[in-house]
Amino acid sequence: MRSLLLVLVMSATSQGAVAALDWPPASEHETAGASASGMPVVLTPARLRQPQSEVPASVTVIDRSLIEASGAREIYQLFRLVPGMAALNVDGNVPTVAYHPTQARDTRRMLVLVDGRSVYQPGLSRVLWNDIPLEVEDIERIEVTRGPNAAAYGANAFTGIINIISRHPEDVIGTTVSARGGNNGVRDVRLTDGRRWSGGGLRLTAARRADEGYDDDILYLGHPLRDARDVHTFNLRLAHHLNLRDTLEVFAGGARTALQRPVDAGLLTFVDYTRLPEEDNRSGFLQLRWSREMSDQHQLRVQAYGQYTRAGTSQGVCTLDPLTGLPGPGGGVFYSRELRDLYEANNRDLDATLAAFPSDPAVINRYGILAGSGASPFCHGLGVEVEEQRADLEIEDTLQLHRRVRLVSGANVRQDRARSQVFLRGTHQNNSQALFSNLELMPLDPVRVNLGGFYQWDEINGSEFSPRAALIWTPAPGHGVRLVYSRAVRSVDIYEDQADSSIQPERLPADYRQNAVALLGWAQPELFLTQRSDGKLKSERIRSRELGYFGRMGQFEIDVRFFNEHLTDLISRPVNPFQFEAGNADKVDHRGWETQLAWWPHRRHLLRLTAARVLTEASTGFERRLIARNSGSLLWRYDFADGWLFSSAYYLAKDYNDYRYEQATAQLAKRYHLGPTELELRAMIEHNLSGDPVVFDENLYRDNSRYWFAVALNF
Amino acid sequence: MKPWWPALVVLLLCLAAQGVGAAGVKLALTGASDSFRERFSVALDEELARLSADGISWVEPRKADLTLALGDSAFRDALTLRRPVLGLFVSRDVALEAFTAGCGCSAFFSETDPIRQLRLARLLFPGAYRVGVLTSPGSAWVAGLLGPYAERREITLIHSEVADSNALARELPRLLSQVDVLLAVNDAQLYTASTARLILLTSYRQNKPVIGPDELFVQAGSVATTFTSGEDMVQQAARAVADYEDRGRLPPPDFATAFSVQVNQHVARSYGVPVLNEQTLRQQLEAGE
Repeated sequence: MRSLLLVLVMSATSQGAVAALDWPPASEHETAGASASGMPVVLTPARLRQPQSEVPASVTVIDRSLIEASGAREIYQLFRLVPGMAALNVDGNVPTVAYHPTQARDTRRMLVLVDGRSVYQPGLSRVLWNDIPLEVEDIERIEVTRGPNAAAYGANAFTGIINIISRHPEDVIGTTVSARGGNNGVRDVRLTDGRRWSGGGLRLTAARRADEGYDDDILYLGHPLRDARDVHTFNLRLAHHLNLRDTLEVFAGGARTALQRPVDAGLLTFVDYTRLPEEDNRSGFLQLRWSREMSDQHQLRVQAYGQYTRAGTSQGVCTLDPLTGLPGPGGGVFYSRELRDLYEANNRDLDATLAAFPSDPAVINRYGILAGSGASPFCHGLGVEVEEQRADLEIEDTLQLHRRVRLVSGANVRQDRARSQVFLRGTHQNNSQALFSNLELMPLDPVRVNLGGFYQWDEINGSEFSPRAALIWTPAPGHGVRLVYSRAVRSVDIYEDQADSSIQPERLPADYRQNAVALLGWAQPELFLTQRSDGKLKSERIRSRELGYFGRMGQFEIDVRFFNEHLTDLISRPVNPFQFEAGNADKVDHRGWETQLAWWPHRRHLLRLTAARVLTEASTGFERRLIARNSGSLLWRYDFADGWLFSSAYYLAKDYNDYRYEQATAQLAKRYHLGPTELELRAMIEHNLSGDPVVFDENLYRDNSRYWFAVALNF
Repeated sequence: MKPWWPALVVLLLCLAAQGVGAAGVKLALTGASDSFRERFSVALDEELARLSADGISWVEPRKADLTLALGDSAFRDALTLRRPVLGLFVSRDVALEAFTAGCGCSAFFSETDPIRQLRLARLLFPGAYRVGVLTSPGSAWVAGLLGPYAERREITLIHSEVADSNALARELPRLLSQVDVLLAVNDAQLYTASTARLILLTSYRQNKPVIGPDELFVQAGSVATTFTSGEDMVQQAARAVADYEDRGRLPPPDFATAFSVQVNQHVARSYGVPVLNEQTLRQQLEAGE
């Protein structure tokens, strides 16, 4: 005790001695207008991020320098720079982004946040990348956590999490107008305006992106492959500092997306198309965030947002007469009550129903009524519409309890709602509540312990707890060896739990509308196919173990991850209105390693390499489609003269669905400064080296090279 | 026939210098507060004793062989006495203006040596090749000083000049987007308590560390700085006085070579800085000078 007292006294004495000769002396400094006491502590311990070497997960950061070097036109393309991640247009113009991907259209096992708002859709568990109202140029940085992170972000941060941070309004200056055009029908325009005032700023962007998707003139199932896209987005971010401690932020945005869609293979058995499918999506959101610095050691954040998405696909068809195979009134039998009864009697087995069709008296009778009715061919519209809404309120508290202890905790309440006649026969909602906490401990200088958990309850999935434990050894500052164990769940979504499909014909000819009961056997005719969930599905689960290292040495930065991921209770089989094989029967095991290396060999050069080797075992082929055993990327950025930039990248994945994905890009850009005005010219080319289609046969470009030119003026 | 008077001037100067040495140096200390001067002179006495410069006495400025003036105001006042003056913590502009006007004076600047700051930035962030410097017209000399050094070290120096702190808000995000690290300079117009929040939050959002300009900014959230503390200036002044006593000459105006390093440990850790020990950093910087 006495020695402690002595230390304190000596410490106080020495501080006093130092203070005695501080320059400028306090009184003079104050007259200069910058007193020591007047200098605020801006970057408080509570505000600061963890260094990457101490983060209890593998993280890939894509900053503006990398975004610029990538030449990406769309957000999803940036994720080709993440080891182990697939980012490509699987379904024509609909991107799939997945870490350690499994199913080809796998967009449901990874959480995506934009400025802290989840864009993971609650109704059908997916991320609509086309509909995110944010342009690449408005992104400040992206942090990708590779591996489950449900302990921090909750359910659905399953295989990983993408955290997109948009540019702060106070960092966007002036007005920018830009245009981009190239082959493949690329026609983009953007207007961004940044305004500042003494207490804050506003950034506003309106943009349009259009292209022709995969543009080869091939026929898909006898029809031209149509996958052009036209996306309009609007995004606003406002920040206002209410005082030195409080900041209020407003985020708002919306998108309207028009997508040409390919014909549906399942439907083609029954119909001729009179109007090919078109998807028209609309979405919007409003988000408020209040941040308060309670003290240097304590920060509080409250966030609320609401978002809405309506995704609708419409098409025109003539349902074919089952006997003639041509459009005719007999096609109405597929929408008859009798065929629905037969389908139900055959336990919703499509093949059995079609086999029993010719011998079922009621169905034959119905067919006879229709065929002899003299009605017009059974031609109509088919619409698939889904509306999804979310209201979310979250409070997060960051407390630096001690130099060696930091606690991040909070609570969340959320309401998800989905409405769809086709998928749900109405509206369903799911309320959830959550509590979460992450404790960062530094028991010894070179050792960090991170313990976290996310407890969540919702009406569909009940209660789930996602824990994480991490031990990080930092042999030297800037270097961290981490051992991480984590578990996470992918919640059963509203559709999987409440599916009750009902496909009703739209815009029927008048004779069917007016005599529906007489001709089709019921007043509200539906396609005989229907699927209903028994509501007994369980959440999908993942257990991950990883050994990783992050280090920064001079001009090098390296991250290595060895992993073993065990995914169980997977809902792998089709769960759509035509085929519904819901079950938790499948599982997947991933093991392997991946690395990312950045090297700045010279002031004008950046070299960046990623590589991943993933060995996968799956109980079903569905879960192996998009996993590439070997994949990687190589990027070179060369700022070769004042205002000039050259960059080139190479992306490889062996293989996606047996096709080799091998792309190379090259970009040349020049910035001119004309007083306060800045002019930027940019040319980009992307070449498909392998010549293979992307994942599926029909995903082919007419020309293996795509190129575009862009001009941007900031004033 | 060559003129004989230059040789006579040299002879007289040598005699005068020997005279200073023989009779000791009568010093005066002006500027700052009474209490600060008191502490400074005590510390200087101790330091001079350590350097075996024993012939020192303290007198009024009018009778002093050498006046030590703390700060710009005291330096200007001391110059009016038309006696040798050594300014301490004097603005570079003020000191050089007087020196080029032919005063019998010198000074150690209040500003931190920008080249040392740049070297500190490279020590902490070896991968930072693109260094931004944002100045007002009054501090634009920093960029001029750094330019040749940066060129030799293959560092890309990107300099922006703004008229005032209002223009700072507009230019800073633009500059930060082009650099790896921002070197903040001693500029009472741009880097003040009222702009610290803007500068530090903007740079942190863009993940661009700030080096300098002084220890107050480091407390606010800048990663690190070198600076000349009162103790450092005591050492610097003692060496100059001892030299003056021996040779009767003052060094030309310059940045103080005695310095300290201050690191904001929280911020440095957040940026993953590998070397955090202030003494080690100071030794590494000294070794390279």
